[in-house]
Amino acid sequence: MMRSSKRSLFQKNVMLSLLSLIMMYPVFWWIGASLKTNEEMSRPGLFPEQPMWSNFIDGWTAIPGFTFTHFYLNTFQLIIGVLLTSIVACSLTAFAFARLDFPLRGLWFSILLLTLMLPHQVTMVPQYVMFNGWGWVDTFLPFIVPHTLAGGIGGSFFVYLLVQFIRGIPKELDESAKMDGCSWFGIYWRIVLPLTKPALVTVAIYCFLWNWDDFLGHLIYINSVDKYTVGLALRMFVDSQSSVPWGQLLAMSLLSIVPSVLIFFLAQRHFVEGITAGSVKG
Amino acid sequence: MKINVKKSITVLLTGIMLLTAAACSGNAKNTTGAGESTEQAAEAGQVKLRILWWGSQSRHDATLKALDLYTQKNPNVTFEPEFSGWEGYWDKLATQSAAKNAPDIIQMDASYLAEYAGRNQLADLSAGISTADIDASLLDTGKYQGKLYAIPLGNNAIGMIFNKEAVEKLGITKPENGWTWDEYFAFGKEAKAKLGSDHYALTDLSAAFGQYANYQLSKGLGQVFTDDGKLNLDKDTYLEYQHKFAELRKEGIVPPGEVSVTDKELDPQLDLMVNGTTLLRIAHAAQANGFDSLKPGVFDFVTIPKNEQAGGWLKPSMFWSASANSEHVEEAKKFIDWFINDPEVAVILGTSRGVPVSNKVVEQLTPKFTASDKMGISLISNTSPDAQLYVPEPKGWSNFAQKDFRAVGEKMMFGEITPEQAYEELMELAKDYE
Amino acid sequence: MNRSSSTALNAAKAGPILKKKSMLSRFLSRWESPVAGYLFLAPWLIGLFLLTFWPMLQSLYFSFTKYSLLEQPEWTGFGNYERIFTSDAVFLQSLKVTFLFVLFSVPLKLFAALLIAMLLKQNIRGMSFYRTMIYLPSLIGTSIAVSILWRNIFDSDGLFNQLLALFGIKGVSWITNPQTALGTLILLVVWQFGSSMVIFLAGLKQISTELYEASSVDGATRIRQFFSITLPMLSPVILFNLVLQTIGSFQMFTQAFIITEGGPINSTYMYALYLYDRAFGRLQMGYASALAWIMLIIIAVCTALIFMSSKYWVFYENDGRKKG
Repeated sequence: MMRSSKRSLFQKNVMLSLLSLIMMYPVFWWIGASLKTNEEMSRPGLFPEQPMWSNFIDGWTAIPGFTFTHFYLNTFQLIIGVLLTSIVACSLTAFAFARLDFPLRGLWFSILLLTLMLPHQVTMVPQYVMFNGWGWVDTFLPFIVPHTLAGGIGGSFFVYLLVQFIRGIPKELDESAKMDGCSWFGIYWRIVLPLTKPALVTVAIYCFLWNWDDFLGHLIYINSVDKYTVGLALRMFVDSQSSVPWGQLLAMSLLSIVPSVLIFFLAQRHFVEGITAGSVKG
Repeated sequence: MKINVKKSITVLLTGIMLLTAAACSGNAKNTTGAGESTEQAAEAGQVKLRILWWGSQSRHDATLKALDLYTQKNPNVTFEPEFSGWEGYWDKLATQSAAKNAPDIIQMDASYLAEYAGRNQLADLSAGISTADIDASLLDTGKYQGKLYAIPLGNNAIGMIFNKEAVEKLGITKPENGWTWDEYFAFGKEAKAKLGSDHYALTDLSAAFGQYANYQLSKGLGQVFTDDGKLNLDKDTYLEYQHKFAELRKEGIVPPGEVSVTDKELDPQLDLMVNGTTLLRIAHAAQANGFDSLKPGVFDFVTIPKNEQAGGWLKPSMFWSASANSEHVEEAKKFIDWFINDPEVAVILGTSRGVPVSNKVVEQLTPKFTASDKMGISLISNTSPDAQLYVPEPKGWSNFAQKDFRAVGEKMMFGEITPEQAYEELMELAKDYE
Repeated sequence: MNRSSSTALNAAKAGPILKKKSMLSRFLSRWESPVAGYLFLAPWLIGLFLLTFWPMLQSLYFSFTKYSLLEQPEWTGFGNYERIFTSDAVFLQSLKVTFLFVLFSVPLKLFAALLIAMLLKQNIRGMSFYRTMIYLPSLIGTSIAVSILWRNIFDSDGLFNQLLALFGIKGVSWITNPQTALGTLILLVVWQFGSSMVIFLAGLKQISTELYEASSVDGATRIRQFFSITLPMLSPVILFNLVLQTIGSFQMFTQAFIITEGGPINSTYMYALYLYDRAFGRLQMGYASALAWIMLIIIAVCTALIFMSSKYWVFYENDGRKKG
């Protein structure tokens, strides 16, 4: 018994390592290439003979007047703003859809899904005209305000995700809370929210990732380089008419995914912690 | 656990409030800033110019320095620079223009000039900027329907770049400036004979709109677009051109379709000439530094082949334009005038936007040019004596040249259609633009 | 309704407890569920009307106009729609490409995500490391490096062909062959299956272990358990992922934009890419808006079909219990 489970553990490890290797191979190439010179790029081989660590140092200060430290701080400021507001606004909305009975609920819910379906390239211009009229261009408000109203990038998705998740929480829990005299807000606050933690973590991760990646949005609304995000700064390396410092570009874009990887690594245990632990028994 | 969640949400809420407060105060600061500047403007003619350009690091560096210098000399003018890479640049400008929020000074590209000038987005720059030291043919590229809407910033020429080292090693006739299309095809044949099966001599130009235009011009059959913005694709010439490339494809002088479309200009691995798949490709003089940095000293330029007439043209690398909605057009003109003519700023700018347009400035800078700068300049000077006029696509047509012509050309490269069918298809697509 | 009135009743009975509560919760508890519902929904509704409906309505209006962005829109009635349906070959091509993409990428991605979620569900040592490794490609997202990476792998002498060469197969240049280019894009989004996988993981963990234990006692095999417990219990999550991936795949843009730019020969010219070219490349925002509304209707129909079919294969635990 012992031996067979050990063997299966070994098999599992082999399988997972193999899978990780396949998934990660392109990333290894990326790491290698970030240490190459432009000349070396065209040569085969994963890693250069002489790693160019200066790609990282030069890349970090490549944008005149600012270092990437500045762009990272900007991005974090933006992301924290949209992250916190999203979590609160989306969970409130989702709670209403999943738990409360009100007229036109079905209609609103289908509208929620409908808003997911319109390609945003066409709403981009009217939205810009609107935000520009309110003097929001060149601030982070065009990102933070929509998220505060459960919209923005992925807003509808987050609401939908949370609705699905809250529906999976047994209603018996609400009933017993109601017996104790809990208001709807109380149920949301004390019962549903704590049990939704894994989904909230998921929302937080996507919110982080998608806003981190929202190049076109950032490009359109942010004018001054002082407020540039990492994504914008990265695109400043690329220009069709001149030679691109590929090594620096790859080095900086490699660094730009480090925060996401760290956040995922720290948060991933919450996905699987789940609500099975204690709650479902109720 | 419960407490944790609650606590964290309280933290969240405080965080939001702080942030919104920060955002609002940031905003408030801006408005007061704007208020101050208008107040001062009333007093001392204080002007803040928004200026937008695309580029890479060296251009950003040089331009920012130039702006600082201008502010030093003209303390009443300050700048709000907005710079980025090429990607998304036109989306941003179109969106800003839709909201009547375009910057005062805009870096413009030839293929977008007609779109913006034709829709009254650009200010007339005919008066107020000294253009005496710019070649007239170059300056004309900034005109739209007779009025000057854009001031060229860099001289540029279309040409071909080839692997000098490889050609010498193969011991074949080197391409010479002023060569003809026949010599070009012959070069391909001679090179292919020595190259072996996996290597090719020329790049497939069936899907390249610009080079077809070069070809039609060299035959003396005029521009591909007429002056009043109609398509003038000469059927016989088009078929001749496409049949010739079909033949080259068959003989392995140009790569097969699936190889040709991997080409990505200036990409260290995917540029077909840089990675050794072909010997020669189309390039612009302004790209000299780019190619040289990938393989120093290996490449050299040659002019676009000719027939009865020359095929190559001079083409500005980019322009400055001023927004028609700007309140400071006069200040913008003053700045542009300084930018292209001032000897001091010329030193700062160097070749960051291609070879400077002012002949005086070029004279002044010549001692400082690097070997690759000189390579680019020699292409320009070899092209310029009999250069054709470069005519950008008329309003609304740039997509036809950049996308449709390419897609139809690729179909031929993959052998899906014949040149005759391609012609029919292009004519069908063109209807959508007229 | 019944439920909420009983709440009010309970609340009235439980007077002393209420006193300890804040003003806000006391205020909320008095209201019936409909009002509470709209109170909870208020932020979203404000956003919907202010930030979403207005731009959407404007784009609907634009779809009936000729609008270059640089000039005022000019009313043309159904002109754009007529042109799209009668004389736009590229529209049909991009529609075909998009449908192909959706049909292949969605099932493949969900299958990979579910399979690997099952594998990553267990808690063995180092699992957080494996999870991060396997999730990492999805974190790259649409980073600018992706286009460089993908071209390198599927180039004619790229990594993929080097691998094939080990088995004596000579591969083509995958990204630039019109027959295989779309395949490489499908592979790219399948490689980034992380988002679906994470949702599957959360769903898998919601399934009570008691169910598995009970069926183990009954002697069910792993495979039987998968079909009789995992799949039905997971079906709401599968529906969720299916709907979202379908919607997302129809709108696929960035990967095609940065890697193939729609080529070769428009073989990867996704609908959203075509729409983008019309809007910003040709400055025809009116035409692009019409394209967008056609897309919206297509997606809405597909989503409705999925929801309609879900009656037959999705199993909700709560409903089931109530009925039982």
